[in-house]
Amino acid sequence: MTEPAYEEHPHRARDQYCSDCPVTVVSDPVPVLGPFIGLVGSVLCSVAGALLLLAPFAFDYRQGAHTMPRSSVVDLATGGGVLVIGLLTTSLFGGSLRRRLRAVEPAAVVQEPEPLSEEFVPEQPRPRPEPAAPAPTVEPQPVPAALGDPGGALRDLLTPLVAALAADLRARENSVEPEGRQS
Amino acid sequence: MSTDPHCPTEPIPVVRVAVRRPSTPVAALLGLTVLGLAGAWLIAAPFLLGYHGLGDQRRGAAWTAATRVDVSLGSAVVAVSVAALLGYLAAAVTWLARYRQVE
Repeated sequence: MTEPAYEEHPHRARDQYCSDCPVTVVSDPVPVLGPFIGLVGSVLCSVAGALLLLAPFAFDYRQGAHTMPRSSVVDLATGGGVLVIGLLTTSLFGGSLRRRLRAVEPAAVVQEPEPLSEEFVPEQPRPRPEPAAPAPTVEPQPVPAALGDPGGALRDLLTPLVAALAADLRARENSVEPEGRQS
Repeated sequence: MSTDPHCPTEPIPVVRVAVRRPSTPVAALLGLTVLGLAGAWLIAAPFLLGYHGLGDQRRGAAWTAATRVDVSLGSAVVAVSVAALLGYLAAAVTWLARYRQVE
């Protein structure tokens, strides 16, 4: 009796039994850090422009003079310009950030390199007891593939436990059925 | 398509989708540059214009309140804009180094 093909080639098993199962799609992250940094910087510059607009009145540059001093004119003009340009830059960076967060256009599906594992290496045939062969005198060597195949090692470990559990349940059912028929 | 190497008995296909490189916000970066130039102008204005009115900055005299405000806020604007430009550049270069696609 030969082992099923899916134990030797898991990929074939997926193609055969789970061809329509969902596939895990991992997307590359969208670059949003740059626009976010620009957004924060432009907001801070806008705040500085607003402070420049308030400074001539807050610190009283005029000091009772009839005409507005030159420093006030420079502060008001430059502060207004910085505020307007800062808000404009904020809106531009915000628009760029919004576009990047909303639309994720896939460029290509990248074939990830196959991991250097033993996926395609057929498993070593398990040692089976031969009925006609004499009792082995030497302990069988451990299968080297099991060291790098934790799934196979776990399966080998759990198979006798599951078989014992199934036999126990079967024996219990056989012992219960006659009692149920009697009642 | 590849499989999860940590689960050899039940392979989970993983498909990595590359993201198209978004366009550079050139206008926004130019705005940051203009803001930096405006900050530099704020630092230099009290000394270049030679304020001569009441309360204006005079050569060799102690700094007035207007000069202190202009220089401090101008320095802040220059520092913030230059830091934002360098931060954007660093973030863009980092992303390109990690996820650049050959087109």
